[in-house]
Amino acid sequence: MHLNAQEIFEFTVFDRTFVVTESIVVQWLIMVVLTVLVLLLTRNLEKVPSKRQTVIEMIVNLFNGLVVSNLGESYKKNFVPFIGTLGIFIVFMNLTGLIGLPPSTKDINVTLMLALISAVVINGTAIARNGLGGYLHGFVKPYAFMLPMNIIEKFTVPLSLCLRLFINLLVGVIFIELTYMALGYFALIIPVPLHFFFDLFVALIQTYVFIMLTIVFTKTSVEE
Amino acid sequence: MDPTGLIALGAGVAALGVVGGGVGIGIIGGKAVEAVARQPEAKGDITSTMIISIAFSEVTSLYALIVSILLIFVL
Repeated sequence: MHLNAQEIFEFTVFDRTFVVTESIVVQWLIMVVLTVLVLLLTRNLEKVPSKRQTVIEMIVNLFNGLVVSNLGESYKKNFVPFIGTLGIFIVFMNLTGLIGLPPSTKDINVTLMLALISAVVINGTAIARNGLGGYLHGFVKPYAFMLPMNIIEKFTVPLSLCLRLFINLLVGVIFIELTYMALGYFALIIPVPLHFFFDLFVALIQTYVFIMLTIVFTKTSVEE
Repeated sequence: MDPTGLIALGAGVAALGVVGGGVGIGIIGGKAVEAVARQPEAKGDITSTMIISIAFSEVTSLYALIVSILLIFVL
């Protein structure tokens, strides 16, 4: 069994070799699918929603509700597009296990990238809301000797976000591959509940956890 | 000497750390059920708080799992 990222092809620009891995190609596919879906689904929206439009409005209202109930009305304009994009992208990456492609989020590089984006948004929102002075003052709260702890916290937040998503998906992939290896040609009924649990349930829960933690960490860092 | 057996043993011992996270998630779930039984109207808030708490509790056991997986696949 291989755990490293599968290399598809590589190219050289200015004496530097860039390796394109499987997870990147899968992400490109997801981007194409999402773009086509968005273009198809958002054509001729009307005041009285059709069936298709009702489903889209349900999804948008879900993210609206999450942001407004946890952060407040003033974050709605800037945060709903970010949280929605993050959530939909992670859901699509997690669910590719269902159609036989390995989930991109089992690659630690992908989840690290997502966690760093979240960290930039979390700290950027805190700076934008409180000003640079207020943000720096937050480091010495509640006491001055808490400074090292507060600095470490800035690094552990994206690290834990990254590792949580990565390990949960990786364990699912390893578990399902081990099951197929153990069963051999008799893999008929037994892997179905495993796929249901790891590829569907864990994937959806982890997406929810990722976007909820981004919201919660933003809230706490702004309040500090 | 071939260290494969010792590596497998170490991976198994490292994975024992998962126990703590399991106990934590059990306590969180039990307390959430108690809270819903006491105040059924607050079910939505309790559920989202519960999932966040489970995520925090779960990640500690995942660190133990990382050590175990790294021992098997990297060493």
